[in-house]
Order: sequence, then C-alpha cells, then structure tokens
Amino acid sequence: MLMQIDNVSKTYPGDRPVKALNGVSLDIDAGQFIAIRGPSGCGKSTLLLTAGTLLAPDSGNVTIFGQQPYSMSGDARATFRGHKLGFVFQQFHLVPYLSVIENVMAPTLATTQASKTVDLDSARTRASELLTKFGLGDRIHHTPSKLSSGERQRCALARALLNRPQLLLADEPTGNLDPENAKIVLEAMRSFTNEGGAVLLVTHDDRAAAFADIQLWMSQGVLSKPEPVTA
Amino acid sequence: MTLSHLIFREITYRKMNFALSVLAIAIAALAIVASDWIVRRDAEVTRRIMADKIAETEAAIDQKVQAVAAAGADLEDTIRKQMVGLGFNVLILPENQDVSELHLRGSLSQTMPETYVQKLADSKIMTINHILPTVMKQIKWPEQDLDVVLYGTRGEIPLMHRSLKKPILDAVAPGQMVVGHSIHKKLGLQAGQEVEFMGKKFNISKLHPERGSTDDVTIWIDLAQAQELLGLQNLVHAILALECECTGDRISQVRAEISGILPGTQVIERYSQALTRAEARTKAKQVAEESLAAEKLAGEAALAREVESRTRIQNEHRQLAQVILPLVLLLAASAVGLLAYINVRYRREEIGILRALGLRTGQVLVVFLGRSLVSGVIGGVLGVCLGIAAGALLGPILDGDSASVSGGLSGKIIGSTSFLITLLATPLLAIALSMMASWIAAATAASQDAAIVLQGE
Repeated sequence: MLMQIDNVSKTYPGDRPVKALNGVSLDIDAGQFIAIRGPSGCGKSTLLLTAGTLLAPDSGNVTIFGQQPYSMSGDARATFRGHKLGFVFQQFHLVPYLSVIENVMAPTLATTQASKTVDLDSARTRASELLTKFGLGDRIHHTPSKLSSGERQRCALARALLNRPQLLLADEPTGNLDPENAKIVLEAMRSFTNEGGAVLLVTHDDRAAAFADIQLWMSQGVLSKPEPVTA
Repeated sequence: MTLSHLIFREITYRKMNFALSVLAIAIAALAIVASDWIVRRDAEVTRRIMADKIAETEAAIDQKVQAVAAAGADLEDTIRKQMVGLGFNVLILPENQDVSELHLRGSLSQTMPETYVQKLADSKIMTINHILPTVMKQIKWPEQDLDVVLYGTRGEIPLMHRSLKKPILDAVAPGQMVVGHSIHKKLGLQAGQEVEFMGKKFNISKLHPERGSTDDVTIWIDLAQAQELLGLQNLVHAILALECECTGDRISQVRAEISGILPGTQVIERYSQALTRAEARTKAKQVAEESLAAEKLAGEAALAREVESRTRIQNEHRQLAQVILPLVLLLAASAVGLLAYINVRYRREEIGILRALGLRTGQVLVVFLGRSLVSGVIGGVLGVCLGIAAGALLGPILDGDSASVSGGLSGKIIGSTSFLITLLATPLLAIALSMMASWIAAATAASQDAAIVLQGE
C-alpha cells in the first residue's frame, strides 16, 4: 500500500465552522490513477493537501510508505514530502524569475546539498530529459512568462516528477488548459502510473476523470466508495 | 539549483525592491561614517587650531618678553642715569678733607692726585662698578655774579678688570656746559646758548630739571677745563663711585677695599641711594613680570575662549549626530523592514510552492535573510564610500572659518586606526541592521502555511 488515509476528518474553525473532511478513508496502491470529483467546497483540495502532508487532519491517520508524516517534525515532514511526493496545481505555481529548467530543478533546493555538484548535474540531466519528453526541450532557458498555459503546466509536471516521486498529487491540473494540452498532461500522468507511480487527481473535468482507473465522488466532506470506471 | 542561485535570481528579478533596500542601508551606513567623520574632523580641527593658537600666543609672549626686556633695560638705564642726579653712593676724598665742608657748602677744598683714579681703575676692586673723577668747588660765576658749585667731570673711567658697563653719567665735552635747574631758571639760560664763564666761552649742552639738591646750583664742565680754571691741574677733589648691587651695610666693605688701594683717602656714603636704585630695578623687573603675566593671562584667556568655541561646535555636531544618527538608523531599518515585508507578500505563492516542494523552515529563512545579507553588504560598502565623500564635503561647510586648517585632514582621518575600525565595522553593522530589520518578514515567510497559500488559489 502506497498511501492509506484512515477515517480522516478536518474542520475549519470560525464563526460557522466548516467540516471539510468527515471520516474520509482511502487507500492508494502503486500504479493506481484515482480521480476525485465533486462540487466546489466539497473538501477535494483539503483531502489533496492532507494527503500531501501539507495540512494536518483533526483526526484520523495518514500513512504513506508505511510512515505517518504527521507524527514527524515540520522539517522532517518537508524533507519526506520533497523526496516522496510530487504536486501539480491548476495555477502552475512556477517561480517567475527562474528559467524553465531552473523551475524544474527547484525540488533539488530541498533534496540536494549545494556542495554536491554530482547530484546537481544528474538533476540537470533529468530535468532536460523530462522537458524534452514534454516538448519543452527548446524552451529550457525561457522564463514562465514566455510560455503558454499548456507549456507552463507541462513545466510544472516535469518539476513534480524530477525527484522520481511515487505519488503524484494533482489539483485541477487541466483547469486552465485547452483540450490538446489537457490531454498531453493527463497522458503524462497515465504514463507515470504505468511506470509504477500513483496519481491522486482532484478535478471538475469529466474528461480528466476519465483518464483515471478509479473515480470517487466527494460531497460535504464525505467520500463515496471507489468503483471501477466503465467505458 | 542552490539557495544562493535562487537569491541572486530573485534580486535581479525584483530590482527596484532590492535597490531601495540597498539605498536604505547605504543611507544608514553613510550616516554612521559621515557622523563619525565629522566628529573626528572636529577633534582634529580643534587640535590644529589649538596648536596654531598656542604657537601664536607663545610667539606673541616671546615678542612681548623681548619688548619688555628691551623696555626694562631702557627703564633700568634711565633709572641708573636718574640715580646719578641723586648722587653716587660713595665718595672718595682726601683723608684731610673736612666732610662738613661738603655737607655745609657742597664744596671741597682738599685735593688728591688724579693718578688715583687710574690706580683705582687698574685695581681688582669688586665692590664698586663706576668711578668718576671730579673737582667740585663753590665759586662765584663772575660774569653773572652768582654763587655756583663748579663740577668738573670727564666721564667714567672704566674698571679694567670688569666687562665694559654702560656709563652711568655722560661726560661733558670740552667747551660744553650742563647747568642746574636754579641757575638756568634764574639766568634764563637756554640749551645751545653760549655763555662766558670765568673768561671762557661755553656752550650750554643740557639743562637739568629740578632735583631738589645741590645739583640745582651746580654747573658741570669738562674736568680738564675745570682743573685749569681752578688751578688744579692733575688734581681732583673727589672720586665718585657707585656700588651697583649693594644691599644692607656694605659701605664698610667698600671702605676697606678702597683704603687698601688708595691709602690716605677717606670714603663716605654721600647718599643712601643705592638701595633706592636696587628697589627701582626690582620695581622695573616687577613691572616687566606683571606685564608678562598679564600677556600670558590674555593669551590663556584667548585660548580658553577658542577652546570653549570649538567645544561648543563639537558638542553641537555631536548632539546633531546623536539625534540624526538614531533617527536615520530607525528610518532605514523601518524602510528595510517594510520592503522585506512587501517582498514576502509578493512571494507568498512562491513560498507556498517551495514549502510544498520540501523546503524546510530554515531554508526559507535563508532565502530571505540571504537576500538581506546581500543588500547589507552592498549597502554597507556603498554607504561607507558615500559616508567618506559626505564627511569630506560636509566637514568644511560645518567648520566655516576654521576650514583654513583642513589641509590634509581627509588623509589624516582615513589614516587613523580608530576610523579604519569604523570603516570595517560599518558594513558589519549595515548587514546586522539589514538582517534584523528583515527578520520579522523572513520569519513570517518561514512560518507561512503552504496549505493556506495553495488553497488560496
């Protein structure tokens, strides 16, 4: 089991507390492509952040590769996240002043010591390979502002895959893309699962969800049981 | 990809924010260096002005000393000559001369050889300084039918074993006559007037002022002429002598010494004026000393006024620096802090994704504090350079009139070890200021919750 989410709940406090996750449980195995769909505010992104070790649940357990990240210190959890997980967001979140290849290499800031030039060289090689694979081989020295939305998301996807994570967490990755670029990104994710990785995709997009092995429905913080996708 | 690479790329991307941070730090460093420069410059200018003033005062006092010494010498000489008018203090007379004749009539009748004078001069006598052979007789001025004391003198005879001293009484040249006060008043005589005396023509060379003694009824002529007129060739009535430095009862010593050289003579103390003379000399010396002391006091007062003036200027500059410097540092720190906070606000999304990519809290701190370090280094070095320039430019303006002593001042200040310490410490202070001012913003960035940022989309 790659990831096990067990009876996780999360409530946002306030004048009118919002229960974003209500006893959610989910298991993800290697090679699985899981899509979670649901209306806005149903708790999809909260679940993704909780799974991504970025948002501690109020109750329940999250186990990733046999380890419980929320029992780690903040810095240990950050290191764990940097090595094991990859993220793709709707807004890309590329660093505007770094070139394409530098953005892709950004995860090495967390995982590589400055003095280890071998690691940096191998990371640069890996970044170049990924960018070439995603059709950005000739754009590596451009800044994000020079890229189209599709190119930016492919750049963000390359960044997410740099450290060879085993689990990719994607929050509406095709939300700002045209169908052609959306297909490129989703096919890349599919390819990632085919190579043994797992993808947890949160989306409104039916076409995107259609790429998943398992589609789940989420409403008011409750996740429906997984069921196989029927063509 | 390293954190330093990230820092430098961000700096080049957000140039304006970074440039403003550097400017704020540079202004702070400038203020530190310039204020230190000005305070040091004040001290050095004060030192130079004081040195100049002291030299000027000392030179003025030296000049005064010389002037007072010259005036004192003139005064002493004048007093010495005036003392002659009052009379010599010892009178060497033939042993058989009745002294009462002198006291009663101001005249002498007994004589002694004129060679005695030379004998005395050639001797090793120590107790007197001046000797003056003279004839002195009360006679009637036949042409004027007036009783006078005729005084024949040939001026001083130098004592051979002594260094030459200034004559205490001027000789009367042959054919010349010096006339006492009562006589010239009574006869209406004028200087330069020719008169006939005992059948010989004399030109009046000098008229004495009133002295209140027998001098007022005396006429002085050349000794040889007097001897001729009185029929006393190669004879003298008396030898006048002055004991210059006498105090107390030394007349007995003078008598003893003279009697050993000139047997058959007697020595009388004609007047007790020697003490008066010594007192006059002491008084002259005292006047000179008082004058010098007054000059020194005036010099010291001028120096004190200059010190006070410079101290006031220094204090004003120091107080100005004490007010402006903290204010500038506070404003610079506030500006840097604000700019850092703005930078953090701009980079919320970047911080969120970097945290999502696994950057630890310390690494996020390094990203922001590293930026502050760079701005501190650049701003500090820039500020030091600008501070030196500002100090060099502002110093003369603040100094005003004292700028004339500022030659080579910049080199002097820069060359001082303590200022070098300031120059070296200022960039370090600038770095510390930059990092402390950015600390809150950096800590805010480091504590930022990635989940909140990423959910914010």
